Amino acid sequence: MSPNQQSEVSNSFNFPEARPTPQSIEITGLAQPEISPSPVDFEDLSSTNNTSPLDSVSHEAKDRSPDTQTVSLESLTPEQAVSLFSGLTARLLMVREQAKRQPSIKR
Amino acid sequence: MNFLNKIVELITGSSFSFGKKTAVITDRQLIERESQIGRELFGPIPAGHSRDFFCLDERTWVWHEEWRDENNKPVSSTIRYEIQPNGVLKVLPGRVYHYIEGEELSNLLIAVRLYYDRSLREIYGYNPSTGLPISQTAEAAATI
Repeated sequence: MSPNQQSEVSNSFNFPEARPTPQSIEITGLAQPEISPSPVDFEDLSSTNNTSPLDSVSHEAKDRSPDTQTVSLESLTPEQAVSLFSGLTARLLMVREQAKRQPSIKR
Repeated sequence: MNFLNKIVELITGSSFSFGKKTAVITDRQLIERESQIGRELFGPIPAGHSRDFFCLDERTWVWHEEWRDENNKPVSSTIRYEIQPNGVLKVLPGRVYHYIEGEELSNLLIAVRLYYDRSLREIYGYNPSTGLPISQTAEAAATI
């Protein structure tokens, strides 16, 4: 591996191929998931696409409802970032934990 | 045993048995599903590389990439992002660590948000905006 490649891996979150278009991200539209007893069906996974993650962020920004707030990522304080990371991670783990309890999940 | 198995086993302390049919799904299996999404968030993966990006636990996100060098020797790089009270700590191999900031922090946040959105929609069947099951959201829309 060349030094350039090593650098690219080490700075993986600097998105060398593309830069984020929107500089804000919706942070208050994260509703608490309502856990349902319905099983997760991995056979019905929707197909993934190859769109850039930055395109997706852009798309979400267009769909932002008026009652949500945005915070500029450029002015994000470490405390705000920690709060966002913690909130997203906690919700994700809650949904993951619930999925583990589903007795009829297809493997 | 792949990297995901090893690291999940390290954290949870339990081993996993392939081919053993059980009624429940494990952390490892769900993380593997999520990592399939996570690895797509950062653009094309270089030829010969394998990549994982996933949420390990409530405080830790992991980036892992493997490839072979010019001598066909396996090489890997693992970066942990630890959510701490004072910020997000980036832990590199060799006990190198620092709090990330600026564009790197923004990009990681975008990646985590996309990971969350896509995982809820594509793996768990929830609408990440409403928190409702997608089937229920579709029913509600049909009645409007």
